[in-house]
Amino acid sequence: MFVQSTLAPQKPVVEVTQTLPWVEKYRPQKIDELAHQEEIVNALQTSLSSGSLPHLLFYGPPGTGKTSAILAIAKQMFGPDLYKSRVLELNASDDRGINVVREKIKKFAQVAVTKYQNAQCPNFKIIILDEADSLTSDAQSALRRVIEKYTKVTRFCLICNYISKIIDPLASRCAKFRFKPISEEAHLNRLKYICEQERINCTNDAFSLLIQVSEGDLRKSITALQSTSKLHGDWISDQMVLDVAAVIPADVINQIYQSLQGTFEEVQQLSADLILEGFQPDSIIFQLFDFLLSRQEISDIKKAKIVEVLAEVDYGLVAGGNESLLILKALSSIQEILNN
Amino acid sequence: MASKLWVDKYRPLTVDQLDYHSTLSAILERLSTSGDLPHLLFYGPSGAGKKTRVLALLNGVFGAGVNKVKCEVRNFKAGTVNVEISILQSNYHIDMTPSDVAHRDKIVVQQIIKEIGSSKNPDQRFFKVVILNQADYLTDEAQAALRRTLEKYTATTRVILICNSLCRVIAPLRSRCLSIRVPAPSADDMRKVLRKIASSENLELPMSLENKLINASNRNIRRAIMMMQTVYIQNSRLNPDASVPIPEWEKYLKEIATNVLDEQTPKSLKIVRGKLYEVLASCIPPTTVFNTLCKELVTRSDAAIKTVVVRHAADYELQMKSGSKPIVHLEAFLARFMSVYKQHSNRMNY
Repeated sequence: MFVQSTLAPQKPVVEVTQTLPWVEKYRPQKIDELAHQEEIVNALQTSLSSGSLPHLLFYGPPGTGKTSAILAIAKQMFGPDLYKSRVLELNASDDRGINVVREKIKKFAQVAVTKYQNAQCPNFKIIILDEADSLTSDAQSALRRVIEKYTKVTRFCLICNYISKIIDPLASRCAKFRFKPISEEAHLNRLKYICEQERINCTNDAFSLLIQVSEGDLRKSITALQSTSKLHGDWISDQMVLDVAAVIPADVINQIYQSLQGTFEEVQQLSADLILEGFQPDSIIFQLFDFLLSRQEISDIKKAKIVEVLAEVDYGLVAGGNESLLILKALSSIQEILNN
Repeated sequence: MASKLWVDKYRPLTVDQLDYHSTLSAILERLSTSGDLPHLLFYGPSGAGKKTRVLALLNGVFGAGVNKVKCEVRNFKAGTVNVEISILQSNYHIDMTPSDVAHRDKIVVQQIIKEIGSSKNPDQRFFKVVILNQADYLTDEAQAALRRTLEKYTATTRVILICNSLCRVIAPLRSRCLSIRVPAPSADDMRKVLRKIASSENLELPMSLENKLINASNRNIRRAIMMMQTVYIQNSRLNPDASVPIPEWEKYLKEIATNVLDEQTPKSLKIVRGKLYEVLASCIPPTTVFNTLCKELVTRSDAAIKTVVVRHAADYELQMKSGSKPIVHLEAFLARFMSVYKQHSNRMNY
């Protein structure tokens, strides 16, 4: 038997940690690890030590730590053993019509919790409704009563990007926390920490570019960092980040500006080329916006007119208008404004 | 001879066979040798080679088994209704276009990823791949559903999204994927590919025809290869004088533009209306009609009104997207053009 076991084919050791995206790997495990959201961390710390928690409503732009915050606090409150039985996590990928609210959520909310000797562990359960802005309004109204009725044993945590999509009666039942975009400093610290852990050398320029590109979205910059390191190994410069982050290179923007001073045909040709090169119309609009506003030689009144055009086109893009027509409209209108 | 389409016959199967975008190929090569993939988002105009690159990448990761696909029609239960969708499946990946089922795409996306996520890959690899085509046409609900699903099943599943435009992919989804831009091939790239195909078919590709093909295909490599094969089938050689076939509807739209430019009266508008109906009845997408007409009218009108015409075209096109009857908006655009054009020429005359 002894011999057999040594002869048995060795199972290939699969390093699961390697496949894990860094966003998951470096999700804060404790509430005080959360980047940048000091007020929220303080409030949650207090409720953690007192063992009481209101219903929560987290809102803010993507990648600011909403889901991380509630997951961290739930983990700290219940510990790994109780976590499964005490927390129900529902997100937009689960079916969430009114039936789910009536059955699944209600059922989970109703069950009383066993009291534990351990005074640390509070005697309630948490239901996390992630991406609550995609709940139907029927489902939201059905939730109202459920939330009140089972307050004794259940706390709800709603997470959403847009608070306007949550109906008022629901919002007024919760303590609201606004997550702000991650500041540059906190952003930098987090990225540096990850680089240290992963043994990656990253230039300062690359860091600042990552932060600039992600616009306060920590998940975006971490994903970009991981993608870049995957593609280019453990030394990262700003040029590599540019490749990954879908930013339009500065010389293309310059080229657009050049053609804006030329003829209509030039602009027409250029806008067709831009689409064919696969540049994204919305990033063209944003970067052009930044670029034109920073030009000294353009008068304020012209800038105002340009912004109006860009806003119109941006709306058109989101509303589903045709990209080549809209880009041509933007560029030719700006050309007209500049030349008058 | 039952010949295959040249587009399929000469499709590069592995990353090192890819003909152009060498920096992009280098990235794909590195991705495929690392053995692990992030979620990917390929974007670029049609006929740039997005799908080819995705399949080549998978070939690099999983080996040739990826190319053995079977087509299947799957049923999904959504409450009381059944949703049917056809998918291509190999041992390693599933390839589908969820937008085929219109507003029910959310159910398909959720269920298929859950299903894949819960079964293991037969190989020692620990993940399978789901390719979602036309990701920009997914409904908002389906895209929202993808967000958490992507994170949850990340240990067993990688998703590759393919789309023409990033604008309509929601930001939370974009931030979860590595975006890869696939630009349309340049004229030189296309020249190289066309020549390569011609020489493997033992044909001579005359310079004049080559230029015609490149100009007419608007940097769409698939269209260029198809056109070349069409010329070959019609003439049984690559005739230098052969005219590159222009689609019927394009000629027809040019005619409409001529009508509008010749006469700006209600009578002429009525004639044009009949023609527009015909174009739409032959299933030309109204957006294409807008694009072609706008381009045609702009080139043939005075420099002073070009910008205005473009602006109106874009506005009416946008209006059409939220409206229901394309014909109304097309006609409105032409009527508007007539008025702009006439006013301008009156001003010029007096």
